[in-house]
Amino acid sequence: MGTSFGRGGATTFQQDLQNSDCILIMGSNMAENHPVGFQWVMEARERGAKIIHVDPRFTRTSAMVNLHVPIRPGTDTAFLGAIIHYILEHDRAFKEYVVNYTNAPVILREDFKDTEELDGFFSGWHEDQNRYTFESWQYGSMDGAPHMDKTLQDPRCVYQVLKRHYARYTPETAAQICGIDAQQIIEVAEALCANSGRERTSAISYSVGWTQHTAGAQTIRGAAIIQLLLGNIGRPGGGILALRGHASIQGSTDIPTLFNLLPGYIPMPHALAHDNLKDFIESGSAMAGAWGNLDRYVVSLLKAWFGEHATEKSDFCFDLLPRINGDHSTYRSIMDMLDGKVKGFFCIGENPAVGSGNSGLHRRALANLEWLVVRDFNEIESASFWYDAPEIESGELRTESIKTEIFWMPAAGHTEKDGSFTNTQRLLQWRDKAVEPQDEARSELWFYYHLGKRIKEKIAQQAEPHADPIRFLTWEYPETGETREPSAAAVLREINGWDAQGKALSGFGELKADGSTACGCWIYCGCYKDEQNQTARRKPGSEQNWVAPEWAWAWPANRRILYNRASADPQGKPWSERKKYVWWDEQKSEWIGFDTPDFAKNKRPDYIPPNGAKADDAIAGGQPFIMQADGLGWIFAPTGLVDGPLPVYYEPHESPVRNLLYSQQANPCRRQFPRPFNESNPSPSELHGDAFPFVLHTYRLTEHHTAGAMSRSVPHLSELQPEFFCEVSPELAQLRGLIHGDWATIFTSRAVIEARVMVTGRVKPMILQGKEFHSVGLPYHWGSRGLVTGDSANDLLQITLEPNAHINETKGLTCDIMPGRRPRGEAVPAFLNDVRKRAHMDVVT
Amino acid sequence: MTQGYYGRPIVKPPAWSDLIPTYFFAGGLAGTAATLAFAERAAKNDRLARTLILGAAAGCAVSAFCLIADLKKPERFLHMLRVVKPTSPMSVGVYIFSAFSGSVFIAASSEVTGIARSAGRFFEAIAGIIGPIMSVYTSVLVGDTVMPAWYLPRKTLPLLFAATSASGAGAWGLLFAPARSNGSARRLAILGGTAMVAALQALHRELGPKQAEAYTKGEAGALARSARVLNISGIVCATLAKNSNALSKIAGALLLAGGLTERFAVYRAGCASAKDPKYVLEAQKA
Amino acid sequence: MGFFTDTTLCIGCKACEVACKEWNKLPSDGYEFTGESYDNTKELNGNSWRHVAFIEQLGQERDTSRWLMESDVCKHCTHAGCLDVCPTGAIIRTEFGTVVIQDDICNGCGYCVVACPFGVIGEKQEDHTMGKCTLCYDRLKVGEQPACAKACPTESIQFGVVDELRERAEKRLANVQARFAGAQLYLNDPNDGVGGGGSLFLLLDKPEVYGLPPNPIVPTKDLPLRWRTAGIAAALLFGAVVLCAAVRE
Ligand SMILES: Nc1nc2c(c(=O)[nH]1)N[C@H]1C(S)=C(S)[C@@H](COP(=O)(O)OP(=O)(O)OC[C@H]3O[C@@H](n4cnc5c(=O)[nH]c(N)nc54)[C@H](O)[C@@H]3O)O[C@H]1N2
Ligand SMILES: Nc1nc2c(c(=O)[nH]1)N[C@H]1C(S)=C(S)[C@@H](COP(=O)(O)OP(=O)(O)OC[C@H]3O[C@@H](n4cnc5c(=O)[nH]c(N)nc54)[C@H](O)[C@@H]3O)O[C@H]1N2
Ligand code: SF4
Ligand code: SF4
Ligand code: SF4
Ligand code: SF4
Ligand code: SF4
Ligand SMILES: [Mo]
Repeated sequence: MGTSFGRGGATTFQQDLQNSDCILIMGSNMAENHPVGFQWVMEARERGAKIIHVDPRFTRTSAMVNLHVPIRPGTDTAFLGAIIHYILEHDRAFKEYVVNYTNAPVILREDFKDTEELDGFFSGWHEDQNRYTFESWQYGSMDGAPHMDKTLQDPRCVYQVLKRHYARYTPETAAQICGIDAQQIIEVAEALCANSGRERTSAISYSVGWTQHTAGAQTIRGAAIIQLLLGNIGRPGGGILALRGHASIQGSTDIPTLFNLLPGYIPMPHALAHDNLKDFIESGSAMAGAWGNLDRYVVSLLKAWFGEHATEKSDFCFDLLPRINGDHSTYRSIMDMLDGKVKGFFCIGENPAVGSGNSGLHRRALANLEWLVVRDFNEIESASFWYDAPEIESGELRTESIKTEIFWMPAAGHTEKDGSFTNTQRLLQWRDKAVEPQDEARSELWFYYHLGKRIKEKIAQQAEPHADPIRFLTWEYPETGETREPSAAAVLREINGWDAQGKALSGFGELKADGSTACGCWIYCGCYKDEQNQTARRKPGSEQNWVAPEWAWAWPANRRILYNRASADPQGKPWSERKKYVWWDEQKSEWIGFDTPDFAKNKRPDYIPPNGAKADDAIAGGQPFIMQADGLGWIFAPTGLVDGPLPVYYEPHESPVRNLLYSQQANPCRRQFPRPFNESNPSPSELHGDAFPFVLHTYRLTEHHTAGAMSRSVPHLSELQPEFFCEVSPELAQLRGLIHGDWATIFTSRAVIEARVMVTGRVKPMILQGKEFHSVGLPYHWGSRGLVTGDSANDLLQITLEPNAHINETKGLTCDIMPGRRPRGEAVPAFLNDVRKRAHMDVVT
Repeated sequence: MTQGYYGRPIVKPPAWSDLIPTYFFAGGLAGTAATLAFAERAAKNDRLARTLILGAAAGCAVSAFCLIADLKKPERFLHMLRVVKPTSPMSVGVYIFSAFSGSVFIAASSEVTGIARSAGRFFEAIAGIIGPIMSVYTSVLVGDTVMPAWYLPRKTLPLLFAATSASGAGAWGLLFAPARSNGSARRLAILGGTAMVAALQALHRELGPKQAEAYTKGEAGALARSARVLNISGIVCATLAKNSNALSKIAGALLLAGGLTERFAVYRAGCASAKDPKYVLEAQKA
Repeated sequence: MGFFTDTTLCIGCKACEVACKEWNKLPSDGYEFTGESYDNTKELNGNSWRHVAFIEQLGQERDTSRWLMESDVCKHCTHAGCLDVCPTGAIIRTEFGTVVIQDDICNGCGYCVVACPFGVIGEKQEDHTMGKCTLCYDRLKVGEQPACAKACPTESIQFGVVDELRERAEKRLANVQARFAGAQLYLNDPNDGVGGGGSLFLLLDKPEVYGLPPNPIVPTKDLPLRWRTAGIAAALLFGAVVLCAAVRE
């Protein structure tokens, strides 16, 4: 999303779905996992919109919609490709939008080669390094503005490249890949086309059914291309709604827990590339668009962190920022734990021993640490693995030889602390503490704040420069109560930032690069406008317009639909009365509408940037994508993704069939970790005697939450889904002799687990390239602890990552299944060795 | 194919224990025994009257125990005496039972102790008059539920309850009174036993073949078949028992067992008709 | 007051079940996997006052793809069998027109269990009294809506004045009939066997598919008849006894 449009967040908000004329829910089980937001889908359905669900299983979402398409896991890129093919083939794009607001007319470089020419690769591929270099993907000419052909006829313009690129993605071919009828794809494509244009808009909503694949980002790019071609971005009832997971998972990318980002999507400085602030700003900022002001954001951030120490003289303490020198993501760190390179681990708000793909490998990693801090409500599996892990049962790990020292600390729950959540639609909502935390339980804020204070005290006397980042850190917040809980509001105010007088800023437009402003996260600037906690606003929806701008606060600048300048035509008039949202008011000479305009308030629609204009001034009045250097929506992504400027269909890392489209089987850029206990099942499996003939995918149930610690411990939830089960079609049950309600054993080359059998017509066999295939679906909520226990689906998984977001493939692997309960104890390793032997794999001794 | 929703019951079977059919049996027996005692007293057959009024007292004692034990806490019985609810056969029944068993206990105490004879006789007469109502009201109680096997035989279920009570009271007389004075008890037992068999036939007819399955299949069916054997043998013995103490006792025992078994059969039939949704569905077919 | 449960809007999230248990402090009802689609609650009973039913209707060729979901609850019948037969007066009709068991008066006799045409009532685990939906009497008292209706994200459970709900239900039926095959109202007719429900339903199939009785009748409807036939039986019994005593061999 960041690559296509400029910001890494949902382009719209859930309430806006009610305005859609067609909603494609794909890679998300919205009714089950976002039930409250799903009311707006229901609202749209009641208003006559066509709702489509594309999901391997017929779920509670499918039950509510007009059309369900049972797709094979991991083939969404092909499906979306066929939709793009349909749009181009039948000339159904919203031309005026495409020509003016997207980079479809941009002419590409001569040396750019598409996958059409290189059988599944783009130009720039380095076989030896397994990666691309990106020069050839750049725009043809970039002096000032890119070169364009607004007639879209030039053979090297993006539109024509796209046409050639997607020529082979016919509905018929995609149907062979996805295991469905071509007619179903055509029906979806036609619905989207018929419900787009001036008068109508369609929305797409996805979640981890798309992201948890080795081609996750490219699938989302496919959706972005569709929405740009159909003119659905920035308009009411349109957009792409990324449905996020945990309560503040959006917040945790905005103010990131990611190794390679600073707050507000500012890249983390690299050890080799960024010697000083100037270097950093120069390499990171764009000439045009909002990123043109990177210096202001970074300096204000440094001021917020290092206060008086951050001066022009000290290069604003840029030196004190940590540097990265490679991949430090979670999975990489897990490998390093296994290799003994990581000694200690804070495990907070997660439960990798159940929740992370290949949880067995995670448990082995945890068992190889020196110390482990687990802060949670209960003693979760990630804290108890040393005595109750499956590897203990099978004798592969022994309690006596695990040397990890584990500190289990009780955490305060969300009702026991103040703070804000940033939800799926970038909305910051404040929550007041309802009760005091019990006993020793403390908030995260308390923990880190007091930990930081103690470290600062310890380090205060050290004069060595390596202590400076901590010594110079501003670390003072008001403390209240007996527990000396720091004030969350004060932290939020620092994130919002203040000016030289210490007054709260009202928006990132006020940020300065001279050190006179401080701001903890530029995109959140304005959330404490007028010294008011804007995120705590709770004006009922009935007392304001449908956008409800006075309910809480959304980044950026309390905007609910991003790029909403696109809801008006190039002249600034609404595309249609029915779909008006933000428009140019000639009298007032400003942009007005239902939402905060995502555009310079007084910039005329016919504004043309003068030569040498910088940052926002370089964006023309008819260019809605103000975060992009060219102000355009990116159908073709010259930068931002390591695996290609256009989506390409590759088979999942583990797949039962060959790639029909290219001889390259799987995403060549995927990150692999081949090592014991993380072996891959042979793919395509036909190569090795059908050892793992079935497609395995995992998902959630409404009744439980993720790794289950929060639901398996609650009687009222545990009773609703008491046991781990697998969902299989009647045909697969027949084939393998599985009995409904009985037990099944499911295995991969990594692990063997057991689950109750749920034979259901909601799962269908798929016909792939003329042959019948089956899938096994597993909810992944169970583990060894809690009121209801069961094997963990994640034991079966394997770690191979999507190369951009480093997300593990959890949906679309291979497995086998047989009736009855699994082997136990020492029979487990023996069983697995047998399985590996049959698959012609190495045997672990 | 399973019917309804995964074959689950549409209505709930009783949450009662086996104390409740036992109560139906004991209460029914007590009611009719009291009436026969009253009639025999009028006929100056004090010997049989004595056996019967004591039988009624025993029946009342068992009944009271069953009722209270099923409520788990004795004081809960009193909750029912807070209100009078004509729409609740159980509420009405509580008063019938209280009035009846009160009268029976006074009459029986007087019979045993010889104290306050005339009051005793008076209450014996009251009990005798209430007796038949005591015997059949439980058919209203179970009929006023949504168990198809109880709800549907509107006409015949009371007759079955009356007949079972008659055979029970008669059997009591056969069992505990000497043959020379038990003539009316023997006649009542034969009449009641025969009526029971006939009423059951009528009940099956009233229900029709599909609903009657609740009575003929499963545990209820097995119990009903045993009850039938016991009853018919009891009737035969009773017919032959004239002047024979031994045969009288055998007949009495057989008929008592038959009556009790029949009560359980009816009770189980009610439960069965709730547990399998087909009965409700069949009954409510448009 | 009552409910209109519109199953065309139910997403089967069970928020209503959980909200009810939380509010009414009901215990869990055991951890048993049924394999009956996603329904592990199984039924309404003393510990579960809301029950979401799941019915998978996926034809052999999967051409009929429906997954029906319905949140079931006490019907708060106009003619309530449970209330009629309760011998202690524990079950009352409240000022809101709802049917409520007062658990401090209930003596656990269990008569209401067998008098409910919908099998709603069951024994509560802890104290051997009977339990069912109170239509959140305590919440209505303070002007709040029932916990289940409040928790329902899609307005499948609508709370309101029964007469208005009936109208709304009629309108809704007219609106969805063309879109949903088999749409029908349930318990909206004041002339049905229970005088209409205080909770009415919009179903997508026959009531029995959801485990509901197709034509429920309050058992006390026949009560006078029953007493009459019982009276005749008692008279016959009396006559028979007298006869037996009178005949002397
Ligand atoms: N009740 C509940 N709600 C939750 C959570 C929870 O655990 N419980 N978790 C929260 C979190 S952390 C997250 S991230 C979100 C996730 O929300 P979702 O993305 O909706 O979560 P999943 O159930 O994992 O996956 C969604 C669907 O993807 C389907 N699927 C699997 N593979 C594919 C595929 O290749 N293509 C397509 N099109 N579909 C596929 C699955 O069948 C499943 O129905 O939910 C959040 N909400
Ligand atoms: N196979 C498979 N695996 C998956 C997925 C999948 O779809 N399929 N989905 C993936 C996704 S999207 C996600 S988000 C992960 C989730 O996986 P995890 O994050 O590992 O699992 P959770 O159970 O959500 O762990 C959160 C923990 O935080 C604790 N907690 C809650 N609130 C607080 C708090 O305030 N403070 C502290 N200290 N602790 C708290 C909870 O008790 C819980 O134990 O799973 C991933 N794994
Ligand atoms: S659990 Fe919370 S976040 Fe999830 S749907 Fe319910 S209200 Fe929304
Ligand atoms: S549904 Fe049953 S419990 Fe509810 S009011 Fe009617 S008879 Fe009573
Ligand atoms: S169990 Fe309680 S509520 Fe039910 S009928 Fe008996 S006293 Fe009334
Ligand atoms: S109204 Fe209250 S008691 Fe009744 S089901 Fe809803 S939450 Fe439960
Ligand atoms: S809360 Fe509403 S949508 Fe969810 S199961 Fe209950 S009735 Fe259905
Ligand atoms: Mo997530």
